[in-house]
Amino acid sequence: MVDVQQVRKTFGETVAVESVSFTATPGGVFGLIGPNGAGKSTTIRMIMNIFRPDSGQILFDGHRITEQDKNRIGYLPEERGLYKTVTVNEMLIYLARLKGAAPADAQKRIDEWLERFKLVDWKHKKIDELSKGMSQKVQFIAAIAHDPDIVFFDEPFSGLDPVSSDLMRDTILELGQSRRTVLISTHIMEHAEKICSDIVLINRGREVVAGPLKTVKEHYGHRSVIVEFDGDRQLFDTMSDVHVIAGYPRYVELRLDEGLSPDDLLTRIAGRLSISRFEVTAPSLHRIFVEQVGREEKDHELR
Amino acid sequence: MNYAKLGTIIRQEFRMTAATKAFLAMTILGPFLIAAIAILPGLLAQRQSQPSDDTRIGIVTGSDDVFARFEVSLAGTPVTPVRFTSERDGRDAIDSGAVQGSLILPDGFEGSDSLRYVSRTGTDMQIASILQATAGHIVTSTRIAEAGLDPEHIARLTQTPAVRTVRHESGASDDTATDGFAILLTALMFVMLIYMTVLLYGQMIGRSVLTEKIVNTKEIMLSSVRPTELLFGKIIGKGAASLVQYGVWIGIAALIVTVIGPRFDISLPAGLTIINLSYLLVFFLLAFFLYATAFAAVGSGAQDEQQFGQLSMPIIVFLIVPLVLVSPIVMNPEGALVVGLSHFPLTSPIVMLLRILVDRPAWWEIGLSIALLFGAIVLAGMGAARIFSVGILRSGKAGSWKEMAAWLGRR
Repeated sequence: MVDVQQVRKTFGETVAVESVSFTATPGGVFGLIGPNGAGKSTTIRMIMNIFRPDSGQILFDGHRITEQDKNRIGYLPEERGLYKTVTVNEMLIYLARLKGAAPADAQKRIDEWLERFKLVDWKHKKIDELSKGMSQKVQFIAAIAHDPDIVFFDEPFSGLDPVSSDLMRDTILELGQSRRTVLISTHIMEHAEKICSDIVLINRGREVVAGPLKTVKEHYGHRSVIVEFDGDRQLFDTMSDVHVIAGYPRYVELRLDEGLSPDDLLTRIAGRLSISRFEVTAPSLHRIFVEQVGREEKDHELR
Repeated sequence: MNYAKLGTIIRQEFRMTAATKAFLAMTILGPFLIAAIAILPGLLAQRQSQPSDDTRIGIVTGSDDVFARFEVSLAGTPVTPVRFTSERDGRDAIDSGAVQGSLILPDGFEGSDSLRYVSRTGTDMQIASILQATAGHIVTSTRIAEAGLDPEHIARLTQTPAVRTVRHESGASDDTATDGFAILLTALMFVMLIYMTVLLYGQMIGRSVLTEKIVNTKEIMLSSVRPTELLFGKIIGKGAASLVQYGVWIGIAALIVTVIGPRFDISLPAGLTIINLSYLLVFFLLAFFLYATAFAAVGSGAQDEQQFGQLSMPIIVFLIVPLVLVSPIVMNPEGALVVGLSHFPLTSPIVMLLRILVDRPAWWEIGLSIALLFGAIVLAGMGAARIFSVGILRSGKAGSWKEMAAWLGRR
């Protein structure tokens, strides 16, 4: 379990993280989300014990993080890189040993993961021969080859093709369902929505929204309506009590004003558009993100 | 400090340095290369300034007798005289390449104060000095004869002895004592060896730190180890690789000195002794650790190769200073400045080694120099660790020396 309690970090005059608190427990996937520059990386580096917080504390299973705890953590940083002149296996063994893993155990796990990610043929190739996607998978293996209790994946899906992306998602979900504490950081809400059980949204170094994803969705934002159709999309723009949150030529996500029920909307558009899908749904994380961060920004400008 | 992790980093850095073709090539070719760099320019300059054995020079004179006297006097020198009777012919021969230059001897030149030597380059000083000596000899012997004296008798009376410089060595006769010039060559080779390897390995460490930033391995590394473990792991790992290289070089040299030289009766360069080789190793290691920490600090402050180059300049200057001063140091190894530089840690490895080779500094002086280097290494290591901890995670703007100094105080 990772318990982050009101951590704060400044660099000179710049406040990178003002106050962030959350608790990530084993048995799910915890999402740390926020726009670029929100303070995610600094928060992650504090969890990784690369930076020490100015105030507040980070507890690992109830005790303050120590240097030894580093061995229990697996980390896939956003800024990825591996030594280019060494082989895949040498790099993986080296990183696992730096995490205190016994070489034989690490080798066994590395072989299993290489098999799973279809990288066996690349085991003894130099890193600089790998494609970007392969290199990303190798980094992913590096994060888990020492069998950590806690894993942190920073933007795990960036640079992956859809097949690899699905494989990665399934693996992360699997890790989450095991006894491990799994944290991911992303700014792609669709991914967070699909795999996170709990989230904390941070902006300008402070947490804005936190809690189980279900509760957050219920608490923030109104229900929205998704319509897939053939016809003139402009129709929705003419309605003053309907707001387009996400709009494409044949797909819209809409927020309705208080007085307008989904039934009313359906009556209104029936016959004018050829409707293939009409769904009343909880607001997407994307929408909550945009609304909450947007409001924060507006408040900040007014200040 | 987690020593198991430090050991893992040391092993990996050693492997990444030593298990490369470049390392193998350098280990084998290094001494040749360094000997070439240290000794060849001197040899080459000497060779080039020796005129070739058959340098044809025109002697412009109307007199058969004068030409015959030049012919006799120039025998045994590299100059072969060719006679011309007019200055025009002498100059034309230069244009056609028949001769390299022509000495113009007007009638009655024995009485004149200056003569002209016209040559293609105007810079062939060696030929000019041979001609000067020859013409001088002919002119003075003519004047002596005209004064009614015996030129040979005068020559015997004015003969000056040559002075040969030998190094005083207790227990050795001056006939077998080492030649100063030979010691200078050995000293130059040692100095070049230290300079090149310290620069090479120092920059390798700086680049290795910079690479952690450029290829973005810094975060994954720092999520596993402390910055100091990473820094010292790199320095010690690469240091061990350099030690292996020096071990091979010195091993070969020692083998030559103790076994191959005496058995096959090969005369060895003066100063190439086991004790001097040991000093070379000691001062290399001290210089390596001092400069490696400095380069590592600079590597963590830079963002790319170019900035690394700029930030390393002040460090390299301290490596170059003793190199530039080799001849003043060798000529006057007990001068106040030299003694000072031989105790100042940034210059002492090279300067003290030079002093040991050409002079005999007191044991306490050598000890003091080594102790000061140790102290400097400890301080530099602590400073570099501070700078490294801040610098390694910095991105964007490059650090300056001023900023890096400020990082020293940061926690």
